[in-house]
Amino acid sequence: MKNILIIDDEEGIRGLYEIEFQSEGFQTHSVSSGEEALRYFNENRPADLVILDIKMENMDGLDVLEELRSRTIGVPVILNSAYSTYKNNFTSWLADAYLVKSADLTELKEKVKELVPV
Amino acid sequence: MDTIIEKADTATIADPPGIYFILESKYSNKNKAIHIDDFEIKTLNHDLPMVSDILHNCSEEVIKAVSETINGRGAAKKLIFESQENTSYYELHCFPQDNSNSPTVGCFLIDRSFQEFEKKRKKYRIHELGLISQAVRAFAETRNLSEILRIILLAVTAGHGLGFNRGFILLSDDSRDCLWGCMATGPSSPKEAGEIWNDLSKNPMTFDEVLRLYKNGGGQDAQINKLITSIKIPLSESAGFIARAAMERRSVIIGPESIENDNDRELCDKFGVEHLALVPLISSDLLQGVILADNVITKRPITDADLNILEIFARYASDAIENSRLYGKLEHQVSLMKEANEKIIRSRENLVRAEKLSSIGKMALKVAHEVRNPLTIIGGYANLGLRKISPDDDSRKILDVISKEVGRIENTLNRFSSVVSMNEKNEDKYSLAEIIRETLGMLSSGSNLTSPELKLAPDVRDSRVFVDKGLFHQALMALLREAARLANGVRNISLNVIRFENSAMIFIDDGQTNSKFAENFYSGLRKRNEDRYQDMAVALEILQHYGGDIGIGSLQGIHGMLYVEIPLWEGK
Repeated sequence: MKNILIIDDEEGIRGLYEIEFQSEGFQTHSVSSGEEALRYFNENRPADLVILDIKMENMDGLDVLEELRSRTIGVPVILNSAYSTYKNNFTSWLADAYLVKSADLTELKEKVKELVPV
Repeated sequence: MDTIIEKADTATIADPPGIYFILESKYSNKNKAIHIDDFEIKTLNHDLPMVSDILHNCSEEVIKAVSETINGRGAAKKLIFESQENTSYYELHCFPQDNSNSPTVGCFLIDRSFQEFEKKRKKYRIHELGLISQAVRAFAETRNLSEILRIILLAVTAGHGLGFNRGFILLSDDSRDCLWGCMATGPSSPKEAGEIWNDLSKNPMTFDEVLRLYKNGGGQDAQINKLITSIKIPLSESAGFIARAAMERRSVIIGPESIENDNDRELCDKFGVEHLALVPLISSDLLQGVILADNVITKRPITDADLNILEIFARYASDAIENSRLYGKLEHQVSLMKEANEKIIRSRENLVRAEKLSSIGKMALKVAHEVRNPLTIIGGYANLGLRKISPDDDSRKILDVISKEVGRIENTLNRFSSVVSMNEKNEDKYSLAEIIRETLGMLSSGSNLTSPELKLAPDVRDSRVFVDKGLFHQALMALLREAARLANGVRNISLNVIRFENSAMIFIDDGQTNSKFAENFYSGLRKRNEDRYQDMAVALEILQHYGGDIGIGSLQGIHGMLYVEIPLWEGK
């Protein structure tokens, strides 16, 4: 079973995504900050795909993404933000997809399945 | 008279200078009246041929004077003595001598030639001063340099003016490095002179009338002006007599003897005369230029008196020229200040608008984040619930309403979160160069008076963009402020605008080689916790709305240059 790591400081989002993706046949883990996410990777825990929020306290999603890429961790990353502004940010180009948050998760689910076929 | 006095040792010298002598008359007595037939000079022992010549040349008047004296009527006669060289004026005063057997008359001959000449000269001088006075009045009525030069030249050349045939004015430049031929007046040939003077004799005009004629565009001397405007004389010793006299600030009558080198000869040839009066124009101890005048048609010699009166006139003319130049400079300064003031007012207005829009933009971003997350959660759970519960569950209706309403709010938010769409846009075609300049004006307003360097490629100078001017100002301002911050000051950044296909590329540089300017700028685009980065995020949003972008590219072989791209208006 493929593992999805959900990184978001909004508890409601994390809960929602976990339920949704588990029901789609994925195993999910979620963390609430960039620091926690890096610790997760430091512990060599499994992640076949990362859903990454951008605006978080202290270390934001783009910093996490940059760190992952600098460590040559090639896990697919979907940036999932309330902002549309950072689509053309160079760092955001390091991600595999950029999706603006929406109550309709259809697009997000499709992108996840595209990047990590079940 | 001096000559006469020198020879008349026995004559009495009086004041005014005169000579005393006795005339003995040869007379006849007819009808109890004495008739003088002739006279003889008696008491002068020395030969005074000139007195004798004068008296005999004017014998009729002398006999008349003697007769009237003897017959009891004192008389003074004016004698005009014409010699080959000139015409002289004398006054003969006669009075009877008592102790003589035959009628004798004491005479006093006074030379009035000098007084007559002086009288004429004074009359002429009054006329000249009157003209200068009229010219000075005319100077006071204008600040226009061309008009002032025209008045000067008319005063120098008008028949009832200083009487020269032609006049030329050369003015010095601000740095006093050279003299430039500016204006001239006068006939270019004897034929033309004949026509002008013939016209004037038929329709005599006062100086004021001549001024009015020229002011209304009449009487322009094209040929002679072509000559003078072709002349540029460096103010150096070797540049010829005009430069020398101007530098030494002395008035001179230039003649063949003044020619010292080829430059002098060339200048004389250009003017086509042997003699020229030259008077420097000096005001506030600064050389304003020179007046040149000649009598090319009449060949009348230029006298010291001519030069003197020209010199007097030149003092007033110099002041008028200097005043006009100062006024011109002042006017230019005032216009610059007015322009700068208007620019500041425009910049302030634009700045206020840009700041307002910026605040709205920042608010939009905050709302986007604060509202979108809860919406995603609420709507997401509602959608999840809809999938989980059975189709006939009553709760389904409630969840359906929640899901639809969340979708509606999301749609609204999508429109609202776009900074551009939430403003009432006032889009139109604007000059890109103008918008950039205005933004730079805003950037350099307030305490920061330095403006970044701006280079516009020729093919974008007239290019236009179709944007909301205020939004575009706001976007550029945010980007340039950040650029200035990274470059340690506005003065350190430069903008180079080129055209690439259908877009303008505004390359922003800090002028430092191997700096991380562009890189640092980019890292700012993903930071949102500080106000200025939010400004940049909004700026990017605006640019993208108009099809533009921010990127890093190459310009003139230099890599890693930051650019702002904006599509140009191509008529659709």
